[in-house]
Order: sequence, then structure tokens, then C-alpha cells
Amino acid sequence: MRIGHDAPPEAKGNVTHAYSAVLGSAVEAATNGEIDVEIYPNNQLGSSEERLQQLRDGIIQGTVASLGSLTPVYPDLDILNLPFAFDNMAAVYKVYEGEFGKKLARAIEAKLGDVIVLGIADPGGFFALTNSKKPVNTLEDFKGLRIRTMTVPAHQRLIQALGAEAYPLAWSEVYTGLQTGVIDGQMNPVPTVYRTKLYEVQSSTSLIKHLYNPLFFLVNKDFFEGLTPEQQDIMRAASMEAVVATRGLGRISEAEDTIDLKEKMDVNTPSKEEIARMREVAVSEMDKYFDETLTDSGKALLADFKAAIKEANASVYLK
Amino acid sequence: MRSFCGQASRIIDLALNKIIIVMFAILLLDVWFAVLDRYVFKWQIIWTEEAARYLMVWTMLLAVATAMYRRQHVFISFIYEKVPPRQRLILAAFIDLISIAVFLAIAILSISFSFKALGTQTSIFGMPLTIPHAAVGVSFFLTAVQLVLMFIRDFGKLPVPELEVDVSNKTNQETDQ
Amino acid sequence: MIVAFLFVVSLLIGMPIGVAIGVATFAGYISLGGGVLDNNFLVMVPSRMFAALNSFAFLAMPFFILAGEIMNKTGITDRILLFAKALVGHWRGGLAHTNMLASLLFAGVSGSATADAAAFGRTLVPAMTRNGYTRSYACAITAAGSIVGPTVPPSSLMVLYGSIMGVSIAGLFASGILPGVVITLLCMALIAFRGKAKNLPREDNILSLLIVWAAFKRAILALLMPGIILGGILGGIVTPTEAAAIAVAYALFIGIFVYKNLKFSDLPEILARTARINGVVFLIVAIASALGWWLGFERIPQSLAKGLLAISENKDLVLLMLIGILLAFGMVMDIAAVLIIMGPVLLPIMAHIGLDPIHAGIVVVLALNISLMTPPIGACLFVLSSVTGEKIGGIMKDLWPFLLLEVAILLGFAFSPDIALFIPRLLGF
Ligand code: NA
Ligand code: NA
Repeated sequence: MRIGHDAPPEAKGNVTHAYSAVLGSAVEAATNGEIDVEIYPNNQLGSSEERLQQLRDGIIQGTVASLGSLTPVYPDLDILNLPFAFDNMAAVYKVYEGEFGKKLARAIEAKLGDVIVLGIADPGGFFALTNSKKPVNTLEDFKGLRIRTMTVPAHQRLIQALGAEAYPLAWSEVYTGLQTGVIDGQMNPVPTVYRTKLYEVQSSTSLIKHLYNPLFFLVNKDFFEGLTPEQQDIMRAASMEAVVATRGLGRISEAEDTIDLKEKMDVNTPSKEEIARMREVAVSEMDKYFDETLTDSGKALLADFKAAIKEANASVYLK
Repeated sequence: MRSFCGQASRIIDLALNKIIIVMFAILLLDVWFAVLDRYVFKWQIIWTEEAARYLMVWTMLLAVATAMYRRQHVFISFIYEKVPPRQRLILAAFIDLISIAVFLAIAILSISFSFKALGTQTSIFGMPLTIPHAAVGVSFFLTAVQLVLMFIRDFGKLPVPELEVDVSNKTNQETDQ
Repeated sequence: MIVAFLFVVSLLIGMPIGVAIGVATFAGYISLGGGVLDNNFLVMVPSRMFAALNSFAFLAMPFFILAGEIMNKTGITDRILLFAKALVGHWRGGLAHTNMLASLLFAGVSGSATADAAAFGRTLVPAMTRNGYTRSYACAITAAGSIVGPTVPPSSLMVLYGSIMGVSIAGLFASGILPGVVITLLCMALIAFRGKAKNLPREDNILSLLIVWAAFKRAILALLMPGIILGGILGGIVTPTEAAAIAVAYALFIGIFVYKNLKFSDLPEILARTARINGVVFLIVAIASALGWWLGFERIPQSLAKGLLAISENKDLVLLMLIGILLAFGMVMDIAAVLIIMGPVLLPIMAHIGLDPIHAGIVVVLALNISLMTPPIGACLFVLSSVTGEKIGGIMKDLWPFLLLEVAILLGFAFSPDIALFIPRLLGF
């Protein structure tokens, strides 16, 4: 099978490659090479959107898809941009691995019709906000910042709700844009900030943790159904291993990169009270946004999502 | 038949040129507006980037057809020009037929490519991605049509490229003063 | 193999380059299998074509070309020429020096070598022949100078390289300044060095501050344009694409309100022309991207890289081979197509031997620009030949010393990263 993803072909620090490499090695070992896994890194076969189409057409068999590439095909997935939702990563794991995760996977499969969701992987943790002007510690600090967002309306609405200005910019222009000051800041998980050397052009990282955008590992449905039941189970087990690998890599990178970032720039965490203030304005605005944009099915999925998060936030590990 | 084809291709080219000019002008206004917005209005308009990309793709792909009408697409001429005139006529016709086949094939494949995107929405405008994707098919179909019409119009004559080199005449005198 | 064969044959018999690549592309995609009517691989062809063009960064190219077209229309070329002549016209071979210097000054306005060759071929070559230069020498000087235009920012080739390879266009622009200046100065030195032997004419020009000042005033608005473009990008006000759009606004403003020789009614034709110039490039870029995807899917770049590195692991030797490959392909193919098809093959190798992406970029751009003036299909030679009536062989006779000099400069920049990256580093890239 051919798997396409977006990162350089080194597992360390690149979750999408780590996922593909772990899955590939586990599958090849368990099937004794009956399933041969070829990895195409670095967007060699095209962007996330293009790879999704290639997967659906059976040109490639597996891809690590970003939320941004799935939402245009399945707009209900916008609900995953619910801001300030999770208390911690343990709650994230619980939600995406539990009943809601299964429901989400089935919903994506039903909507697209030609894919199987084999894993919901970790992109490297929650979003942090970086900028070149000032540490963002309070809600008021957002004012006057020009923040780059992906071309995702939910992200833009969220940044505007918090009081900053949101401008879409292609990722290839972000580094130069930040360097020259066309934009002041951007948001991404900490490992991404570190790996793309944004510390060279940014002065502070604020660990606001306002968003969590999971990655989806998809395989082509015809390909998957053409496998023997035994091979299918091997694939699912390998995918579980790979998901756990992304979590481990995500946490390790986050921890190490945060320490390294502190050497190079200001890294701050807003106080609980300030996060609560941010959450309040963000949630009320995004509730409005979801109310305006979601269909009934999307609203139902959002209700499920919120219920699952509530339960996960309330539970404590091994207790 | 010949004059009809010549007439038809001329009309298509005129219409295409008008569309290209209007879209190019809107494209320019769009990017100017995006810069003004960031520094002056601060409305944080989010559609300018997406609009610019799709307008550019449509404008420049339609220009593939208007450039073909003037035979401006670059080619390697050193063997072509060494072929004796009679044989070159056949070679030119052969090249035109292959070109028509290639443009037509891509146009046909584009139908499937565009309609696949019917269920996918563009991020900002929320229109089906089919609309931007159709640029490839529409422009390549029009290019193929133009080539067919020109093929019939010029049958038995060698195609003459119309070079896009325009330097105003007065320059000669000015530099010679 | 069959793909390469079909491509070469289609190219050589004179098919439009986009169509020739298209023939090879279809052969490649059909070889991947699948039915005829419902072939998902074949549907990838339009899909890749669209994806290749659907980039905001790429938009800088049409806008820079548009700005250049408008500037041309307003007679900027003449003003720059007169300024260059006022500065160096009194030397032996004054018009040859003027030609080279004007290429550099004009470079900040124009982004394409062939446009420069056409403009100077129309204006300076007749002027030079009337003043006692041979036509072949006048053409050779023009060809030698024409590669300065796309080396110094703005440059369409750099926009293409940056947007396809994901390298900062602003950084590439910064890296192009020094080679442009060096090429101009060394070519002028070569003109001076061989001036006596070639018995180049002297004009009766005298160096007069008054004349220089008057010419400078007439040219200043054009000379400011590169400052506006680079200042806007490097100063953090706009992205390269936006800078290009602002350059258009600037050119329009000068033409309509300052020089007053541009009318709003001229604009539709300029827009249509610019679109056609871009349509030619976009066709090649789009189809070459489809072919490039097939190469990647078949892992041909990896095999080629392995093959190349198997010959030698010596960094300098590998770099030399890469430059040789670029020059060779550039000689027989459209340079945009070379960039797209060969880019994914060559760049990982360049990264492997430790070349900085911006350094690799300037090496690629310089090599491809130089290949524009080498036969058999150097586009600049064609344009010059068709504009002036001089035979390509005649131009080559006088061009080769300059060609060698420029290749030497290319090698100099390729093997001294500290010099090549001096200005980009100064600006923080
Ligand atoms: Na230039
Ligand atoms: Na060439």
C-alpha cells in the first residue's frame, strides 16, 4: 500500500511520518511482507486535499489527513474546532478513543463512502499562539495583533472573538510574513513552532491551548475490504500502535521543544482566571457561529462531542 | 467553410479577450484591496486570497486559448524549420492534430475531475469546488475548438506565429539622438 | 523509457512544448494501468494541473510581468538607456557599456530575459550598428546582458522556484542582487579589456554632471521601482505577490499621471497581452506538474539521485554535475519546464550535499538563465535573431567569451555559499 503524508521523512519531531513509519513497520512485520508499505513523504504526491482525493480514487491506499482537508468534504467536522474544550491531553485521548471517536469515524466513513478511518492521531498537542510583539497573558493582549490563520472560517472567527485581527496566509508565506512583519503571529502546536524555526522570527509563545485539531489516518475502502479479515485486524492493531506513537512523540517533543524554546524566546502560560475569561468570550461567540453555520446533523454531533468532553474532563486517570 | 471557421474563431477570441480583461482587472483590484484592508480599513476581509487564486487560474488558463489563437505557444523550431516547405505543411498539420487530441483529452478528463468536487465546498465562499476546477476543462476545450477552427481556416497554409514583441516605434529615434 | 522517447521526439519535431510534455504525460499515466474510460490515474492529470496553478505566491509572476509591460509602454526603457549612456557613454565602447549597465538598471523593472532581449534588440542594436559596432557584437552584448534582468529581482523564475519548492521568495529575491551586479560589472570589464583589440568605437560623449543629473531626473521614477518592490517585501509591508500588485499600481500612476503617455484606454490591450504571455507559461507549468507527479509516483527522482550519488559522494563534484545537468536541460527545453520537472529530482540532492535552499535557488536560477542564451534553443538568441535579423551563429561568435565569463561567475557563486548568501544573511534570511 502507498501512504502519503506532509512531513520530512524523519520520525523524530514529525508525527505524520512517525505514524506512517510505525504503521508500516508493524504491518509489514505482522503480515510477513504480504502487505508492502511504501511511504511518500513531504507532500510528494500533493497537498492534504489532493491526497484525500487520490485516496478516494484508489491511487494511494493510505493518507494522514488534516482536519482542514476533511472539513470541505464534510462540513460537520467544523465542530472539532470547539475552542477551550479539553482540560488536558488525557481528556483528548479519552474522547477520540471512546464512543465519540468511534461515532466520528463511522460518520466520516458514511459521509465520504469510500474511506475507512483507521486512526485519530495526535498532531503534537494543543495550539499555542506565537507573535513578535508581546506575551499574550490576558484577553486584552490580543488587541492589535495581526494573526495568521489557516483558511478556516472557524479559526478566523475565534481569533477575532478574542480581539485580534485574523488574516489568512498560505503556509509557505508564513515564515517570511512573520519575519518581515506582514503578520505579527500565528498558531500551531509547539512541536510545529519549533520544527519550522518560528522562534527565529517570533518573540513569544503563549500556551493558550485554545484548539486541538486531530489528524485522521484514512485508508481506501475497496483496498481495506479486499484484505482478509486477519489482515484487517492487523491493520487496525498497527494503527493503534501508530496512534500511541504519535501521542508519545507529541508529548516528548512538546516537553523538549518547550524547554528549548524558553532558551530562544519568551514562553508564557496565562493564568487560570485569564484563560477562563478568554474561554468565556470565545465560547459564546463560537456558539453563535456554530448556530449560524451548522446543519441539524452537525448540531447533533456537536452535542455528542460536548457530552463526551464533559465526561472526559470529569474523569481522572486510574482513579 | 473556411471563412465561417475563421469568423467563428475570431469571435470566440474576441469574447475570450473581453472576459480575460475583466477578470484580470478584478484580480488586480482584489489584491490592491487586500493590502488596503490590512493597513487602512482593517475589515479583515477573508475572501481576498481565495478569490485571487481562483481568478488567476481562470484568467491565465483562458489565456492559453487566446495565446493559441496567435500561435504563441513556444516550440523548438530548429528541426521544424529545416524541413522542406511541402513536408513541413504535413508536419504542421500533424502537430495541430496531436495538439487538438491532447487538449481535448485533458478537457474530457476534466469533466470527471470537476464533478468529483461537487460535494466539496471552497473554504471561504462555500461554493462547490467544481467552479474553480472547471477552469482547466473549459479553457482546454476552448483551446481545442480554436485549434480545430484554425486548422480548417488555414488548411494548406503554414501557421504563422504572431510574436508578442511590442516596442513603440519612437524609441529608435530617441536613443539615436 | 517510452515516456522519455515520446517526449524528445514530440519536442524536436516542433510541437508546442506544453503539448509535447502532455504526450509524454499521457504515456506515463496510461502505463500506470486502469481502464480507458474510468481511469482514476488519468483524472490526476487535470487535478495536478489545477493544483500546480492554485497558489497565491505564484500570482506574483503575472503581476510583475504586467508591471513590466506597463513600464515599457510608458517609455521607461529610453529613460533608463539615456541615464546609462550619460554615465558610461564617454568610454571606449560607450554604447556597449551603456547596454550592459542599462540591463542592470532595467532589471529592477523587468522579470524576464526574453523581454529585455526584445526591447534592447529593437533599440540598442540598431543604434550600436549605426555607430560602428558589428551587428553580431551588438547582439552578443545584448544577449549577455539579458540574463541580468531575471537574476535581479523581480524575477518570474524565482517566483516559480519559490512557490513550487516552498522557499522564501523574498529570500531568493535578496540573493539575486549580488550576482546581477557582479555579472554586469565583470561583463563591462571584459568589454573594456577587449575594447582596443576589437577596435570598439568611441562616441563624442563627454562626462558631464549636468547631463547625468538631467538624465537621472528623467529616469529616477523608474529607478525607484526596485526599491519600492524590495523595500515593500523586505521591510515587512507586503508579501511578494502584493508587492507585485503595488508595482503595477506604481507603474500605472507614473504612466498616467506623471509621464502622461499612458491612457486608461491602453489598459485592456496591456491586460490581454500580459495574460497571453502568462498563458504560455501557465500551460507549460501546469502540464509539467502533471508529468512531475508521475515521476514522483514512480520514484524516478529517487533512482536518479541514487544513480548520481553512486557516481561520486564528493560534494563539489556532485554540485558540478548538477550544474551541468541544469545547463544541458536548459539548452534544449523551456526553463520553466526544466524547473518543474527537474526541481524535485535535483533539489533533494542539493539538500543532501548540504546546500542551503536559497543558495540552491540562486544556483538553479543563474544556470537556467545562462541556458537561455545557448543554442540550440536559447530563447534569448531566438528573440534577438528575429528582432535584428542577425544569424544565431553570428551572435554566438561574439557571445562565447561572455558566456564563459558568466558560467565562471555561476561556478563562483555555487562554490562560495558565504558570498552567495551574503545579502540574504544581511537581511536576516
Ligand atoms: Na528583474
Ligand atoms: Na533554453
